Amino acid sequence: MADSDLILDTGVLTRKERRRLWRYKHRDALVAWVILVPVLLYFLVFYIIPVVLNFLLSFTNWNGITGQPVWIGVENFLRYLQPPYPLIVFNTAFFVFWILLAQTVIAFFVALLLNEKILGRGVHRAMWYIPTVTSAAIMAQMATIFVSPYGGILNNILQSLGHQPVIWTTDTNSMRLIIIVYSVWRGLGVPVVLFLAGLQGIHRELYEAAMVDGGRGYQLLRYITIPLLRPMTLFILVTQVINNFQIFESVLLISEGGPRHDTNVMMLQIYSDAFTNLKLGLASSGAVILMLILVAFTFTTIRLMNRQQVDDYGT
Amino acid sequence: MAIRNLFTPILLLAVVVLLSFSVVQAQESTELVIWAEGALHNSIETEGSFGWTLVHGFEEAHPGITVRIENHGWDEELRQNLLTAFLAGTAPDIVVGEAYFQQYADLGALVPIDDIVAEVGDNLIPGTYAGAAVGDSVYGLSGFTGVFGFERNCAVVEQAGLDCDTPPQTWDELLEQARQITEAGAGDYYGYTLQGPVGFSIGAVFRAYVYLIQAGASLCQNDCTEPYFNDPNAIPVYEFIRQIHGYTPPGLSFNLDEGQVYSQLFQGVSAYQMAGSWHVNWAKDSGCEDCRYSAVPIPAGGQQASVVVGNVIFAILSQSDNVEEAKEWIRYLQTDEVQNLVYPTIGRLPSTRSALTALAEDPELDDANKSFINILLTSENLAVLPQWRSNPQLVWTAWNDMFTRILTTEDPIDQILEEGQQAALAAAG
Repeated sequence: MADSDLILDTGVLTRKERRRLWRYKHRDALVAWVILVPVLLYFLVFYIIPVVLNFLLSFTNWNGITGQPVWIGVENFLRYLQPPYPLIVFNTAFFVFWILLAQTVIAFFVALLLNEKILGRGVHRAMWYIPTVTSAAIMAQMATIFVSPYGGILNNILQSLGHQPVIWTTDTNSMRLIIIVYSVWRGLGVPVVLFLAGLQGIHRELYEAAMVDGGRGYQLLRYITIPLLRPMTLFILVTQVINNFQIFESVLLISEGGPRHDTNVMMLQIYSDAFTNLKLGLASSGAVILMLILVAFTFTTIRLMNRQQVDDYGT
Repeated sequence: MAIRNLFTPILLLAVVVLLSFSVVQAQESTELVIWAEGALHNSIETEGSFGWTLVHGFEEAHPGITVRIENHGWDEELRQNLLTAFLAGTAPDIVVGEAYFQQYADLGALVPIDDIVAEVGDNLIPGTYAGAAVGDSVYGLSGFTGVFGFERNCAVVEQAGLDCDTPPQTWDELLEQARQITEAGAGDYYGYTLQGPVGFSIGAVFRAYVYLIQAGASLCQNDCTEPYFNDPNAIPVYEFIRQIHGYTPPGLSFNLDEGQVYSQLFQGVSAYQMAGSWHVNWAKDSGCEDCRYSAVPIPAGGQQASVVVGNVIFAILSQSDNVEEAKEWIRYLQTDEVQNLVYPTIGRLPSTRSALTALAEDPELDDANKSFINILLTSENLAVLPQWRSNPQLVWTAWNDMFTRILTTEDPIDQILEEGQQAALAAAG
């Protein structure tokens, strides 16, 4: 007689039978947990715990080499109110704003062009992504070839036109512009690809229907393309803000934060505080502040975009 | 059943994971782990070379001790890797460095080796271990070293109509010759190469410090633990540097690439520059057919001086479980057997008096290196760059900003120094 017959006959389950029945009922969930546990453990050990420890470390003073962390409360966070840290935070936000604006607008129009059926479209698409996948050190080296005060391409052009060479590295506006241009150039590939994916998800019938109703060029862009790309635009904004707030290699390799901390950014200062100044608590507080800024921005952006969506569609 | 099918593979996986965390095999000998830099590390495989002898010669002399040399970079890269190793508990027994040992010694991260200094002190050049000295204790000794000298491209000097056999001896002579060469060059070549400030790099201050020491000025006070950027003795130094900057190729001083800055002299774009002792081989490799070397010109009433640079110091970490073995290695590093191999096998200068003297007496040694060795052996003012205990990155940024203003404006130098000092003190906390 099968176990199930016994259960049906008597109506009373043994402990073993109850366990077996429970495992049977929850078999899918158990399999899922068995598969997920190693991943969750990995995530816990290499992400959650470090973030929590970093948060705790931000309230301490410690050099990381000798002794133990000493609790100092919010002193590290208050240090971010003293020079040059406010300037460093401002620089970071400044770079994020302009890089994001330029990248998003340029990437959108590049994606529009790459969405057209032209000869060698695949090659064009690949070429726009090459700077993104090339080593940051190599790209920065190429940038310095252009802007080097001595023998740089830009200064050679100026001198050939009869002008005096410009010492870009001592001018705040010049160095900020150079870093923005470099960062836009290097980071354009990802939003282009994402916008392209979004564009290809828009049915052509929508455009055709609009054209039947008399819609043309700009109107198609304004009333069909842009609204339907809103989810992708939101995704790009959020991810690129997170990415650009972590700007590091370009500043380190092109300007080292100079002149006068005018291009210094939070990630570079966090790095210097940790590894050169041996102030792990201060470096951790910088990381916490950066995280809070990004969380606040992400949360606000998503809420604003959702509210806009409700206004547009009424749901 | 799905669960039963998964049980065996899960059990196997758990066993594998546990085995991977099993106890490490028992060691039969003591292993010394040494973080060295490229020159030593690259010479390990060449039998009879400096690195090879340090490893094999030491192991033969000390049975039961094995040496493992690792290369974890230099300067920022090295310090980043070292801090990470400290945090992970995987720091080596011995580590190299040049400009951060005082900071680490203050934190108790290094082992004092005064006993070794007492044994070999007479054969040491104080400037080569001053960078690892804090108070009355020494925390590291140099394996090989270098010093700043004065380099000239005679092809450029003679093209301007000057005599290259008599290099400038004073700042006034240097200024005058640099002016003449720049005028004669008419934009094709210039009198001097000056490395300017970039971010928080210390390349510019290294060279400027030579001139400061010559004039009796300092960058630090209070046992060199605090910045002293507004030393009144420094004013004529910066005035001299501001003047000579006018005879440099436009824009070159602010080039981000230090190598490109100094290689312009090899290419005939400038005539004179401050040079580290490694420039000798670099110039030859770069095709400079007539580059010569001498002592750095001094100011009127000044003193002959230089700064130790490219000085690779080895220090024992207090975390090490093999301190006595590490001390034996440091002792071995100072022996003639090892030091005499430095120049012939890796092209750098040895750190001990006996090895430098023997090398200077080598009839095949070129005059360039003899010049640098002479500076090391005879200079009474062989200085090392200050090492800030707190926020070195911010303090050096303050100096670079100050130096930028000196080179790019006509603001009064004393005012610039005063403001620079305030910025440095604020940065140092």
